[in-house]
Amino acid sequence: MTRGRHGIGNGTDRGAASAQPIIEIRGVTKRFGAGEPAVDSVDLEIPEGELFALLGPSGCGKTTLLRMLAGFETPTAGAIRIDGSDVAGMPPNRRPVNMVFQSYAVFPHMSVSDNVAYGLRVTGVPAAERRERVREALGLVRLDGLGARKPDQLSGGQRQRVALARALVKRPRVLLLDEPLSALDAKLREAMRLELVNLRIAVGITFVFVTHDQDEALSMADRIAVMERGRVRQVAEPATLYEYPNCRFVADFIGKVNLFEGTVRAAGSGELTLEVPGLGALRIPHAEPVRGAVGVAVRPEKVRLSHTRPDAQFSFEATVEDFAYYGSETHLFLVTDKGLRLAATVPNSDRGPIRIERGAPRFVSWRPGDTLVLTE
Amino acid sequence: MSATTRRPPPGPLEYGRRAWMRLTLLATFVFLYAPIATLVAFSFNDSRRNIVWRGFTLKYYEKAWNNDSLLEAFTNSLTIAFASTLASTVLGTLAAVALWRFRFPFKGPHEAAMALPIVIPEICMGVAMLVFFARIGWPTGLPWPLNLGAITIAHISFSFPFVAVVVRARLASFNRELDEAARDLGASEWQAFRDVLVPWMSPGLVAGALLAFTLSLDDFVITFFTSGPDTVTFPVKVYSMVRFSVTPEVNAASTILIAITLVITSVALWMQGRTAARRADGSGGVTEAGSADG
Repeated sequence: MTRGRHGIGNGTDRGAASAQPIIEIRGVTKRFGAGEPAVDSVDLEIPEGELFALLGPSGCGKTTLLRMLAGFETPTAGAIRIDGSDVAGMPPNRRPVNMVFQSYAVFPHMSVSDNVAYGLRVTGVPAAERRERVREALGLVRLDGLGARKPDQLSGGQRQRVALARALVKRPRVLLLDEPLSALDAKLREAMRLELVNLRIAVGITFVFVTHDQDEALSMADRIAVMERGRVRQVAEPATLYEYPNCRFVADFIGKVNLFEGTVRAAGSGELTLEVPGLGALRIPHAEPVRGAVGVAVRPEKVRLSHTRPDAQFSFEATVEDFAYYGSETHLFLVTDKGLRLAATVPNSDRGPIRIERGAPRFVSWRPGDTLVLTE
Repeated sequence: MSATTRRPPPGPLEYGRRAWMRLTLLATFVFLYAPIATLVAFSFNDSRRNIVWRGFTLKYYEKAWNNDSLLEAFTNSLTIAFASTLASTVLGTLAAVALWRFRFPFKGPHEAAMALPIVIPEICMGVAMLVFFARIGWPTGLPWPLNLGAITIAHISFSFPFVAVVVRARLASFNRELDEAARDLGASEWQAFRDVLVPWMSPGLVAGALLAFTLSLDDFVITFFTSGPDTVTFPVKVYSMVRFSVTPEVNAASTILIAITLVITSVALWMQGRTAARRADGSGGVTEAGSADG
């Protein structure tokens, strides 16, 4: 497995990649009745100690895949191996994984400590050991002293910590999280991202989480699998996924992108000449020789704007059609003289007033190497 | 509350301060409770007739207590009520869980058929039961309490759908992830049912059981058709007493029945409240808010 990081580190410890992945998914398909399968021949390997994200729009099969890992759904075809053993036919209560549910599913009639102790109680862990482990788990999620509370006396964030402690107290090999942050408000979500990453490092086990929020996946995960209509489109580290998407879907789903359709005019010696209607010819560096129709894309923050024609390999004249101020940055919506629309993001690095007017002319350019060529 | 002489006019939602609303409320309460209050009051009336107040007495309570056949009918009624409540709560709960949990062919018709006893006129049920027990040759003359079997079965058949409907309604708001969470944490299907689903259903179970108990205790029509000379229940007995004359003795017996129903309902509600309070307290009992769940 290649692990090009393209110079952007995300500062998390990945854990030693052991020879055998903790989770191995081989050709797994899940059908609910007739029609398109919910999960379609998915192959994935997740090494021990990774914070792995399943990312995709709703209905892409990511939750179904997670539920198959937990044992709540059975694959129609294919095999899942957890920690080296095939889990086909193994009920959820026997798997070495635990799950944090989207609704947290904290038992409403039990106190916080009873919730956390539940998984130990039903499996016959002696009371003394149970108390010790519950105390430890509550400390891990910083809920010390709240053991006697009832779930309805807790905030949403605290309930999530209970769900985390309840799963971690079982000492699973893998923790599964279904949309762990979607029920929290924006401020708390931000803080919880960091906390989950740190928790992963503290307990040292593998986390697999499902999310539809690309920011969440990019900022937290070591690696991300992007899913669309039951299939895995790309598995890569966040920076690779963002800067080197392998298809139009991933480029469009992860972050914002200006996506045009073009054709390859010439290819060779590490370069491509592309023809994009509305932009003209672009010569860009590209290792693989490709032909025919391709998607040509550029991220808005890579787009450069200037009042005078820049000293760049290619540039276009455009006018500002609209703009939106976001505090830290401003988003500009431009239209070229040939009627092609594109977006640009400029950081508001100076404190001065925004000097943008609708209808103002600009020159648009970007580095040739920032152009994405998408064959799929 | 305030000492100001002039109160502001009632707000748009302050119906409690509108005269017509108060009048309607009063009329409703009079309509609902005046007959019952009269019945209770005249059970203490020192007169053979229920028409004029002649002074306070407890002698009709004494008389009712010493009326062996009335006491027997009362015992029969309570026995039937307890047995049929137990059976219909279990059956109704199982039916509700099955209908909620599983998908099977003809589930819709199944559910509709189960609710039929709720809508079928009682008189039809009564006749049907009479014919049914006669047709299968249900034994008569069994020793007590086995001779109450036919009535108990009849009561179970019309009260368990009520339990099922109430429990089903409660289950509709159950978060299935709770059950999955229990399974995920190592619980077997049975443990998850016992530890998560049953506590969730318990308000529905209590409500359903109370309903079944009340239905059984005061049922007249169906019981009348299924009871024999030696299996008289309280409502049937009261009916036969009233055919001669409405004596304060009937009032006294009815008052006791009302009291019993009220006491049982209060005990059930109190137990429910106590369970909720105990759970809110938690094991350590150090929380500040105890009345969060009602």
